[in-house]
Amino acid sequence: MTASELVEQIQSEYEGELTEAEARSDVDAWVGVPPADVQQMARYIMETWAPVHLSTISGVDNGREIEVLYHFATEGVSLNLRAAVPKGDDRIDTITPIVPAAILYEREIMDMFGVEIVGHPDPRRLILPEDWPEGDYPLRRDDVLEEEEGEEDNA
Amino acid sequence: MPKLSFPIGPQHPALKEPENLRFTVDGELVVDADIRIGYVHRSIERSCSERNYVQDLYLCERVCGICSNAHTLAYSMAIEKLADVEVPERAQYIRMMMHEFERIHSHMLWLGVAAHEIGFETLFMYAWRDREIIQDILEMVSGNRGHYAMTTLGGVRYDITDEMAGKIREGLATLRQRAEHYADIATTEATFLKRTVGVGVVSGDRCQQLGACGPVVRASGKDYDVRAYFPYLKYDNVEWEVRTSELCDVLGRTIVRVQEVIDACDISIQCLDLMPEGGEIQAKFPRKVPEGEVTSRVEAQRGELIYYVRSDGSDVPERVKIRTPTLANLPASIEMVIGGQIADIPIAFASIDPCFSCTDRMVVLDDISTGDRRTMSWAELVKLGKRK
Repeated sequence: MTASELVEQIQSEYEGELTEAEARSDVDAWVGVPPADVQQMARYIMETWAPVHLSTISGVDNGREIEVLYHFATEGVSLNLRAAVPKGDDRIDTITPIVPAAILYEREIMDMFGVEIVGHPDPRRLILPEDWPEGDYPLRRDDVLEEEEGEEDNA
Repeated sequence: MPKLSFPIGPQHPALKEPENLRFTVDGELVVDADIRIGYVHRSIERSCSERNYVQDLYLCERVCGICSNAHTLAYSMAIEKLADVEVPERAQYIRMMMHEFERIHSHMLWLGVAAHEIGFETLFMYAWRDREIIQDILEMVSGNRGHYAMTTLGGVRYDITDEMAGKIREGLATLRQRAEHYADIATTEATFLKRTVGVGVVSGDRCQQLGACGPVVRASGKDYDVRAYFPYLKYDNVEWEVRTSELCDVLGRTIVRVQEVIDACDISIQCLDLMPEGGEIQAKFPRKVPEGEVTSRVEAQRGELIYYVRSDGSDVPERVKIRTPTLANLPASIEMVIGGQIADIPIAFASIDPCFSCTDRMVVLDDISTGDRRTMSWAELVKLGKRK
């Protein structure tokens, strides 16, 4: 299967809104859904092309939204699913009950970006220490590193 | 008997890296396990978006000391895809050889560690002695025993001369023979079998559900190998096969890894044969990279390594996301120890070949006494570094 065949199949079969659907090469498919539909899409992907491997979930802060990117792999196609969560309403449903592999990746997203993963079975911190302040997320853009104070050589 | 919970780590004499494991036991039986990571987080992802593409290459190499070449390879492949730069053929073969050399050294290292965990010190010593053959080859080719800095954007930094090729062939022939001997030991030696058969069992379907990768999933009968699923470099041009085992236990993982050492020797020799004579080994690379986003996967020795890179058109990436194989294998490793004996915990955990420094990538500097400072300025860091 090539990426364009997979994208065509999604466009014709998937019943729901798609914010993007594009094959960028023979192996790279990029698909987007509104954050509310992420469970529906994950279920569709897992049922249609089983076995599907979830490689990881990336977060990207683009200024206005936190993009949550799910990188799936089926034979020969890298399927990337995007759901952009607007800042201020940073909530997205968990996909762990559908894709058990997501459990640690979703915890990482919660730690690093402060996106609330609704319904996560184990929402404890994964990477940040227990005494890290609430509401401070290292990879969010509004959390800027402290400015360098004076130039001192490190010799 | 009442259940007992106890922590191991983050600082513990038996651990080589800081991580926190919590076990609940009923007598000698492990009934629950949990893991806490983050103790060696070094902020590499964030730092990547504050440095240019060339600086990031060296930063990514330092994510891990054992799979450093896999990181530079995955990173370079991502950036080359963004910049649409074609890597010269000879450089691709050299990259592939380095990739396989690294697999050999890492699997031999793992074999030693696994032998040590089960108290088979003789095998540990022999495995590490033979690992020196590949370490010498790596040093001869790149000048370093670790952090080879061979891969660079657009190609490789050093060529392989005819004299080196001869020595590589010679070294790999010996190593291959030794690996065959270890494959024999692993499947026949009674003391080895006693400690590995039926230990750390996790089924193939469960591995797949939990997103495990690398030798862990292949030792449970599934064939997920990035080199076959998403062929990169020249893996399409050489003859090799994905090694699997149906055993689902520590023995299966040992067999898969030792078999992969033998295969890696064969792939490297084929690379030497197929490599075009002479020619460029490095393509010209632009300082700025066009806007875009890509993912790049490689089969590192511990499993699938994935990079996601987004560029905004400048000379600094907007986002670099790294997912190392150990993180993917952690959920499966928890299931491996549950239901087993306390004495089998070390070997069961070691069987995923965990690397916590890869998994964590940020350090948090805390002032415990006041609790109100979380970040330190560069000047303060320098001051701290100079403090006697």
